[in-house]
Amino acid sequence: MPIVRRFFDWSQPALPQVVDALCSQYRRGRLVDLSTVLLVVPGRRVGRRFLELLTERTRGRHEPPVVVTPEQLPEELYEPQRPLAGDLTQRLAWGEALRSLSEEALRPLLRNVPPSDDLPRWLELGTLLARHHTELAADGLDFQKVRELGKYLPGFQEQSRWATLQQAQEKYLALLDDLGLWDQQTARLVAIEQHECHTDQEIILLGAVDLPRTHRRMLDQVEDRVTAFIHAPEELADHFDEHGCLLPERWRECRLDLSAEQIRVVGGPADQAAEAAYAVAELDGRYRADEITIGLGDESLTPHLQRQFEACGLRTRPVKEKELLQTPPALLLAAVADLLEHDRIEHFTALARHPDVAAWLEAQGCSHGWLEELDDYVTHHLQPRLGEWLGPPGAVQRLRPAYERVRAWLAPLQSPPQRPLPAWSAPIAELLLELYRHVQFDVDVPSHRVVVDACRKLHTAVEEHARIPAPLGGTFTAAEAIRLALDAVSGEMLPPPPQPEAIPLLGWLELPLDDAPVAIVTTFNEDHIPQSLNSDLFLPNSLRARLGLLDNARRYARDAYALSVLLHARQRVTLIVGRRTAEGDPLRPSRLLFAAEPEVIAQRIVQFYGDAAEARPPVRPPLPAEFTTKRATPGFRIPRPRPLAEPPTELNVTEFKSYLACPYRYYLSYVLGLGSADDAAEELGGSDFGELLHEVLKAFGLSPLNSSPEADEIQSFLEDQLESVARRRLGRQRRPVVELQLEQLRQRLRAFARVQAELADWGWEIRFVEHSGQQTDSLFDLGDGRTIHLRGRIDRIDFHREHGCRILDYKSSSQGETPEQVHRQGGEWIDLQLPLYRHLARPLGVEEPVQLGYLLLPEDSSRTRVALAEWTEAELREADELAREVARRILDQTFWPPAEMGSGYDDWDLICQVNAFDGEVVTENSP
Amino acid sequence: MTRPRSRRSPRRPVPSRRRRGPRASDDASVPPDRPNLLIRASAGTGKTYQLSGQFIDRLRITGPDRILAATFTRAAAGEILERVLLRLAEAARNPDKLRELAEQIGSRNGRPLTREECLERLAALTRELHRVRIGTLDSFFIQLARCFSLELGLPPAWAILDVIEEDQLVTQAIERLLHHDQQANGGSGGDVGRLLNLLGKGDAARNITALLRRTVRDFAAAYQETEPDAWRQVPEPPPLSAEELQEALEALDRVELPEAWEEARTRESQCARDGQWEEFLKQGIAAKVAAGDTTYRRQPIPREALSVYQQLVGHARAVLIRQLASRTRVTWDILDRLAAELAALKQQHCGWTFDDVTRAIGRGWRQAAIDQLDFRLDASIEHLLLDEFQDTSVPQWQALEPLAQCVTADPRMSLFCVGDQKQAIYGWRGGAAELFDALHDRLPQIEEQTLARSYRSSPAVIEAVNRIGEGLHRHPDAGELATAIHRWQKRFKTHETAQADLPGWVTLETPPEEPEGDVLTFAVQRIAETHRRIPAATIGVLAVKNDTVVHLARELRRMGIDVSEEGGRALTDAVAVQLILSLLHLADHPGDTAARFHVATSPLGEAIGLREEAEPDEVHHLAARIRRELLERGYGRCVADWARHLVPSCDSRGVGRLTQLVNIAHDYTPHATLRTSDFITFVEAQEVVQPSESRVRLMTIHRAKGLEFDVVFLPELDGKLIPKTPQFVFHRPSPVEPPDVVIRYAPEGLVSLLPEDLQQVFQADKVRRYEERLCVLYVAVTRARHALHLLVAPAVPTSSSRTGASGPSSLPKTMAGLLRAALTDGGPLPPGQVLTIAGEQKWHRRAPHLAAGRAGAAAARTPSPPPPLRIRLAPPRPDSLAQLDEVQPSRHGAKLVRMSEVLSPPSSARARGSLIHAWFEQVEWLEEGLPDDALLRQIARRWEWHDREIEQALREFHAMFRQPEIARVLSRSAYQGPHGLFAAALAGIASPQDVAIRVQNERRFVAPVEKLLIRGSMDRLVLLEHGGEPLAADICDYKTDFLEGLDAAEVDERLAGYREQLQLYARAAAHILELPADRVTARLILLGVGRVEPVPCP
Ligand code: SF4
Repeated sequence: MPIVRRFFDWSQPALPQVVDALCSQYRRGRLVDLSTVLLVVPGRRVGRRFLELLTERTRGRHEPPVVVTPEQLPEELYEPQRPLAGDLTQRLAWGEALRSLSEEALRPLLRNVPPSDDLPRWLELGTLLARHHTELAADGLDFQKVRELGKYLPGFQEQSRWATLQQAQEKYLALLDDLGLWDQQTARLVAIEQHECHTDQEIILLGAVDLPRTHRRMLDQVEDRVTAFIHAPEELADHFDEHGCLLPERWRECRLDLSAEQIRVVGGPADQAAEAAYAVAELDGRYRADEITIGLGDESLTPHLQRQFEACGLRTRPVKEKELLQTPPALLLAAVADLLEHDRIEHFTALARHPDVAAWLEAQGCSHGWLEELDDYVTHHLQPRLGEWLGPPGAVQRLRPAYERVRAWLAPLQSPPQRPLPAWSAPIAELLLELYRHVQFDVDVPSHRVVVDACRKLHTAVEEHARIPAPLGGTFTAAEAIRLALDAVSGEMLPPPPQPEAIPLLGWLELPLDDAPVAIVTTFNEDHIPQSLNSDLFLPNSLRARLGLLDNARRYARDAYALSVLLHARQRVTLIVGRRTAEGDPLRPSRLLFAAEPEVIAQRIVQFYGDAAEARPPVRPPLPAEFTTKRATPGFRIPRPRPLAEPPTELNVTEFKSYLACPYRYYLSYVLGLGSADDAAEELGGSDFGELLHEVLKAFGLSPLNSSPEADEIQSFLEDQLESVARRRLGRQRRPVVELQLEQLRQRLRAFARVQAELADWGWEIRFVEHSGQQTDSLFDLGDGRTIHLRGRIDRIDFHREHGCRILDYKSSSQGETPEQVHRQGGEWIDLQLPLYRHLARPLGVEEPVQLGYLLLPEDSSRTRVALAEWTEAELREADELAREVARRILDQTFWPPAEMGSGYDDWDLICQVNAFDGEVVTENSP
Repeated sequence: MTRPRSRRSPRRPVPSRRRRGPRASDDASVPPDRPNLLIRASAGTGKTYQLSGQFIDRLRITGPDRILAATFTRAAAGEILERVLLRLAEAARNPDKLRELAEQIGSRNGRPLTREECLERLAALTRELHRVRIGTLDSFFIQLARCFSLELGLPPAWAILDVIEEDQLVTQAIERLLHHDQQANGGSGGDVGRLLNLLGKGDAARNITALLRRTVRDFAAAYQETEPDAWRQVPEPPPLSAEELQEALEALDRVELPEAWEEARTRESQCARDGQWEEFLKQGIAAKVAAGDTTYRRQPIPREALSVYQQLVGHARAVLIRQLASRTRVTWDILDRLAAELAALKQQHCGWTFDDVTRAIGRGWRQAAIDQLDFRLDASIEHLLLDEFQDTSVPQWQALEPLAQCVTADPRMSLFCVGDQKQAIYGWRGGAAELFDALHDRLPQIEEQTLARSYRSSPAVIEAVNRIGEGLHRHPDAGELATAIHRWQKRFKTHETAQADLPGWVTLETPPEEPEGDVLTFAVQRIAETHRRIPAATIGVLAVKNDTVVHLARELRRMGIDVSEEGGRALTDAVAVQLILSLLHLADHPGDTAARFHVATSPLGEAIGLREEAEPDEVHHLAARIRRELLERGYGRCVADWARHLVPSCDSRGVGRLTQLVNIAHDYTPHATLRTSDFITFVEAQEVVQPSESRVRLMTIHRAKGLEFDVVFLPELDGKLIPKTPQFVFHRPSPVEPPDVVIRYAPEGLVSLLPEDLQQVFQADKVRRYEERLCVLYVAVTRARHALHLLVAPAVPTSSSRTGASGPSSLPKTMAGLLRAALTDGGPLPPGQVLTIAGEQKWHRRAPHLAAGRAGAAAARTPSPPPPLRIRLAPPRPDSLAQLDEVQPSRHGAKLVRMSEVLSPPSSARARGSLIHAWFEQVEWLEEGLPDDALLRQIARRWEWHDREIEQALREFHAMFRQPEIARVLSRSAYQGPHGLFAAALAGIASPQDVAIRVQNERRFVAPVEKLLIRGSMDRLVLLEHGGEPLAADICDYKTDFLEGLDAAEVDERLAGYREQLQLYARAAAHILELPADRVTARLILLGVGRVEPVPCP
């Protein structure tokens, strides 16, 4: 007896009819007993909805059927004679099969044959072939058949490629055979060949309108137990084959009856979301949330819909909550893999910011502040990885234990580094377990449930490694093993929590069997509804059509049927067509919109794109927006300085420059002591450069060589010093770029040695050099009865028998600006450092007149020299007076208003709202 | 160029495309129809119109998938398709439109286009919409590269790198380069250090990575396109040896010179000793000698001195030229080494850039790696339609040319190009504007047409455009600019307009002296005034620099005029966005006290509980909390929540920026990383357009290409004509060939020292850049429909020009200077002038659509917009299942989960549990024997169990039945007789012999019980029935855990959970079977410990 086809009226939704039919057919006493039924439905959701309707209908007094999706159906119909190879096993076997081919054999397939030991690369290729193998086998084909059938296709010149593929396929099958395994495709084909398919269930196919050939052949072997439920009127019987599947050629020409106002052509994603909201508004409260479904031609519209609906006070239920790969445990594993593979500081700093790692460290007794220490350490020492611990131990007292904990946690994954895959299962699971061991998860809390579900799935994926037959795959690192597990779960998603009174968002493929009376379909565009394939690496459409694989015609038929069902079975259908994607790519309207008479097509095009389309007046009231404001002018204020509890009592000579530039920024940095922190530095910055030079030169000044006139001697001393300073500050392992910068420093020191030797030769001797930590201090009279302590560090004071004393500051800026350039602009003082050194030098016994200057160490080492300031006594007095004025203002707490400055100067742009369009406009009189 | 060079044959081999599939137009009767056509289409002449017409024409003879129409922007591609569809549809519905279309495309096979054919074509086209190949060149190349990835040497899963990823790879490549370099050189320094010293000169860059990154950015395209030799074309003349130099220097101090020259000699001598050779040549005697003079200060230079000077000048020249040569060479060396590192990284990351793909395709043709094109694309390409041809770059042309060769060689196929060299504004990228001219040589079968009839602009605007186009040469420059003008003007043909009735006005204006003063302030006034007078008119304000756009936008907005800034800027120009980014920064860096202060003193601070004086510990916790929220809830939702607190402080633009930030955050959520800095970088890298309905649109001229406005203002015409010095100059032997000379840019003084042919390269390069600027000017002035206002600075005679000749000879090299040359007599231009160039001031009175629009616009700005829509739904159905609380008892007992249960026992043990369950499912009554081992093995195989493991599990399974309690539970006898399970409960209800006993294994159910929806599966349900009606039910649940390693309390906890689960099962069973509670029992079968535990059912 052939498969029974049973037609259901498509003027109503299918599922309620099916439930009714089954209830009356399978009622046994008070129970509806469907335990003998195997129901095949296109997706899990349909199965769930079926059970819901059944439960509602029977108030639970039923025995449910077994519900499977078409993918699961074959395994219900036969018993495999051998264990089946898992997905990873298959991919590895494919990779292995390819790898075993000679380079010559591979040439027609690949331009770049990967090195034999590059396993990930082979696995990638293996994955590609496994995919094609699976798809072909589902239709009963193998690579050899493609080669044979392709011959009849005009323009097919790919025999040699497919011959290579065929060879690989033979190797692959032999490989599995040796392992005593089968892949699922082979098992099914064998079952068909041996006529092993059997069942004692009643098989009911529901909405299975496009089954692969293997499935059909299996169903044929149990055909007397199969009924195909078809949601279409009996008159269309000739549009379906004997399995109840669509006949593409029948649907190619079908006409779809759409009215102009069912179709809405709008702009981008936000416009689509708004249009969907309008479509709901048009229902005017006549339908409940569960009577409306929003169909998604493109799932990426989800956040737009959610936000627009939320702004309208409506809840939606998305298809998925989260990608598994975006869950905390998956991100954790990915970060661990990165760190293990590259062991670079940026991977540690990323892992350290994982909230679960942070929480774990805290639970382990690591005190707060290690993240702050990490930023400082990274910025200061610029090391490519942690572990050398430079600088004072106090600076890493929190960081170091935290780091060591993490390393200990990872240690089991590090030696031996290479292991066969099965050996990685336990350590990876243990890694997660250690992190979460002491946490109690409450599955009713959504975030907890996510972690638990993700761990469960990841664990399963990792455990698959344990099942990889030993001969396959060679050895892997922990990072590779983790990535394989992550790969295996990529694309998996976690379902959203149930939400009553939410409008469900559904994928397009779920819509035909959905039974809500209102359907609003978004992104009703070509490439989404229907999808199509217009070029391919292996199986372009013409070859697919020839081989009977899923091709564009079948895709079209499926969607044409789906839209027909929708139009007939729903009370209200709205199709929203976008004109462009979020990225601005143009979108084409779905071909289904043109399944009409040519005149109608023309009319529709004019409706979509004609002048009238643009001029349509927005007569509708606006939708509520996510955010709205009534403000005409922005209301952000720059925070005002607050009175200080205690006025300052001392000032560093370098602070004056800052105050002169901007009192408010001075307040932020010197009074409040604010500063930025990050870990972005990859090489020495300007001030690091200066610090290193200063340190080396200070050591020189204190050394016995400080009066040497021998450049070579000085130079070799400086180079030794540089190396030891660099060791202390930058460690032994340095970034290559830092190494290069040290070389540049060396060049500058070489130039210094030359100049210094000349100075000594000319009779200059170094009288004074700053000691470590030593600050010079001098009481500064402000002229109004107040005084303040001036502080600062003088780099060196030189003495010459004839020329007297001079105070020199080392200047490492790359351009080598002179004191005049640094201190004055347009005749105005902008920096007071050198003049104020006179006051600092007085307690050291240096009496005026004293010369002031820089020892320039610029990038262009030919310009290394002493540059003296040539200020007059009067000018210096002016500088002193200005310094007093500044000090008085600081004591008076005059920090407002900020000076107008361009952007990019310092850390204060954001606080001062410099770059913002809507920043506060501060005038002289701003309060 | 006079220098002979080895030339490669300019023609690339035509790839073997002989074996093509059948052509749609394979029909011997089809005569060669359309010629291959190249259209030079001036601005406003309707390129899209041309292209859509040509597309429709080709549609008449072939399928849409055989026509490739390529353009440069995605928006343009969308527009072309829409236009094709619309024109066909309108032609089918409107006889006038039909006539127009038919006229444009002419007849095919002697048949004119008819209405019926339009309908037919339209039906065919819409049926094949998925096969239509109208898109960007990039997207076509990507499609090709996907089909041929293995042949092109790409990894199978390659993807296009975004800007941030590419940047990261470049940074990594730099690090690897330095690392490998230092390794090779035994530690520090290395070659790269030396190279960098050369490169860095003048760059003032201590930041090495930045310097290298900049080098890549500026030079990578040139590097990719050239052979190394091209970078070695600067000769390296020998300098003096050290001794010779010393001698010459001494001679210089010695030679006899006039007293008055002493100062010059001293300076020059010092320069020479310091090695400051550039200084040396700059002025004085050396400069004269370098220029070939033999006199100084009108006196002859003494012979001896002359020869010393010549020696030193020669040396200076050699040193400087060698520096340039080595800087150029070193640039290539570094790029070459970086390119190798970068290529390896890209391979490793499976990422390519658009440029990589384009070049790979070009290479692919040459290496015959791309064949089988027709097959893999599922159709052969017979007609090639190329839009904006002047913007095609050489690599793009190399990737296209084989196709072009192919379609032009076959009379049944065709090539169509449309473009305008006068609008070639993309510099190096579109370096092949000359391709236009070269096309003839390369594809001899191509015909040419020029379009100069505008469908856009008013006669006034066209008159001005003509006067500009035809009058530029009056600019007094005699150098490269003059050459550029000459070349550009050759392409300019007098424009006409089809819009004879459009009113219009063109002015050249200068700001009044005060109060507006400068041009930009004046522009703001003028724009505001025009907008107020003609509110319905679209106004395009086109600037040269982005900063100017920003400045004007800010000023106009301060005047209360809503403007739309196009061209997109990073969202960080809004305080609210900055605050959210600060908060995100703080989440990653809790030690950042500046960020803490920034956030804490804002409305956001209070909302998230951050105080200004917060202790470090508090901030640390806050940061951790935020990182967790970002991970759990996603960036989109978190950012939206924060935004809500900031909205009350924002104006409408600020709200717009926040909304866009939330958009970006949602898009970013699926790609989120553990670092907030990645998101911040992402936001900073996005240029986001602030959309606005405003009719006043501000943008750069570049961005305005292809757009039109009723009124155009050009407020920035006085800047330097070439605003930026280029990084390098190059020379191409022919427009389609790679450059054969690349030289780093050198200042004019240095250029004059170079050999003649290289000087020409510099000159030609300058000409090219001037030409590009003329194109920019042309694009700017042709955007206007009605009115064009050219705002320039006044030019009052200065003291110097007063003494010199007045008039055009003093015009500056600026756009303003060019316009003044073309439109005025070149004389002074006082402040406050409004020169009408063409048209009339009151033009808008004759523009009815603007007047009508005015009413509309006024109406649209009614003071109170209608209140927002309230959307209602019907109330939920009270009896729906969705209203019940769903419970899954099997999970119910496990509400609190410890990870040790999830992650261990290792899932093999969990799998063992499932297997044992599956086996027990096969057991009905022990009396009837155990299921066959063969069957059990088969079941196990479904779980991918290995044979050894199966045998082990089988032994365990059998052992379980030896436990007496378990054996009893599974025996029918347990339910029979006077001691049977329900004997007491059923007493008096049914006699034992009438009671049938039935087992249901794995009994699934969903049951609405009171307020609960209970869902689950009972492992074993034993039913006692009478006449088919249930009398009693016993629920057994197998538990396979061994309860090992748990302390007593934990065992209790777990058992309590199990009991709760079974109690719910019992309630469900009572409901389903409609039994009183006392006739339902439940028991836990603890297989692991061989015990059975009855569960009390309340
Ligand atoms: S490959 Fe990586 S580890 Fe090896 S040298 Fe290069 S940068 Fe260093």
